[in-house]
Amino acid sequence: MNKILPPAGALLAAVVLQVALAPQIAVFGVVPNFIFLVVVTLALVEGPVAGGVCGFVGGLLFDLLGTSVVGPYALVLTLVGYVAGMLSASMFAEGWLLPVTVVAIASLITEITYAIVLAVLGVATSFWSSLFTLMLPSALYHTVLVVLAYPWLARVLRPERQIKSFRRLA
Amino acid sequence: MKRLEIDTRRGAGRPLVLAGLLVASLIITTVWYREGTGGPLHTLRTGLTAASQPFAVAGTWLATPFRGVGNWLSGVSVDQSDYRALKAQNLDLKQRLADLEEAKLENERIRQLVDFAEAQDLPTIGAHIIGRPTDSRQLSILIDRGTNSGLKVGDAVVAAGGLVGQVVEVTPWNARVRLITDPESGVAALVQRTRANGIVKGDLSGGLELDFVDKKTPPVVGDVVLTSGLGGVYPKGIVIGEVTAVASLSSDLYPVVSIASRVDIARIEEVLVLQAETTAAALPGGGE
Repeated sequence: MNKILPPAGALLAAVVLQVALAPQIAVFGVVPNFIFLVVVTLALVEGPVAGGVCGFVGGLLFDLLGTSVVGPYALVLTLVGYVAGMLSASMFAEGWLLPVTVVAIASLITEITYAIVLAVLGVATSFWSSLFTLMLPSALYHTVLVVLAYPWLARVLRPERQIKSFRRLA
Repeated sequence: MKRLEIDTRRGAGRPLVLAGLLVASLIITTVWYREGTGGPLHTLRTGLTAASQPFAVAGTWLATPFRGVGNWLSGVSVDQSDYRALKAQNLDLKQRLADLEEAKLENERIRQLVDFAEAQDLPTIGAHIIGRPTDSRQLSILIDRGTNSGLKVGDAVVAAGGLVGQVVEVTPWNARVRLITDPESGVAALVQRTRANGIVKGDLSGGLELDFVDKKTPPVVGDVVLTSGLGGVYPKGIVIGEVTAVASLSSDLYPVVSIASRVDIARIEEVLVLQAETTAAALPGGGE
């Protein structure tokens, strides 16, 4: 039960922030995704299974917040959470470089996979246009945000670890 | 040795769990398409929209002073003299001026909306925007009117400059409006000068594109694009925008026409909901 509470609380907080704060800090139409940040952080500190489960729940909540089909983002975020968890264990990067690298890669994978899934479902968007107006700017924005949020978020998501520095977090 | 054990546990995947979750996602997507608008997932979304309203309102309310301060700072040149009393008085006057300016702007906006509503000759309901898009891909806004005010799914939403979008979800107290700039939106349109029909769709950069226009009668830059009324979702004659670019290769079936909306959707604060008596319901595809 205690293991479920921190991720559940973090996801709930992310949903509230997504509704209340994210629209206010959008830059050139790029809205940050706090749910994505929670999922990737959890995957980094707890591994692929926790990342996948959190990705499924977070993605479903994100789908329900929007106006499009429910399910595709849950699919994408499940995959991304799982892969991010696998990446965290097999990457050589450490310190601040680990979350920054994983979030940048995960953000790009999320956006590209989501665009493909939506295209399959008939929501056609211009890939090359969205690559430069949405996918790359989103990855950059999330990378900046994770530098600010990761140390605090990782402490919340894994309270039993005595984390005191960025290096220990990785 | 201990470090090695932790890393092994963290990196250990369970492909069956992953496969189960992916299958569950696909089942949910299928259920979404199969169930009606009163199905459990649709109901859950409506409930979440209603529950999220206080947070959306709080976020907008909290952000307003920061926007105001930012605007104020950008317009103030600091006087470094010692006349502190005069400076304080100056600040007070500036604040009053800002309040008056805000009231004047709001008055102008509402006057424009009223003029626009009279021109439409349709019953309308004014609404404030209480929530902005929470996602870069799905462009929708939340307004502070719902079924209690007579809104229903499918109602067209306009601002003084023209078309804004369509109500796609409604609760007793608020409604979610899919913007015309959303990639899933589609509006039956016609070019005012040539009367050529087409479909206006949104793109991710926040712009609009006019598709399926006959190559024999291509629009030119500056042409006004209106709703055609075909499809029955949007009333005929509402301004969508103006043509900003036209590109046509010999291999293209239709010219690529870019349109700029006359409505600054990112900045509008009030909208009008047009209440056609027999408004068509929102289509699953998001438009006409």
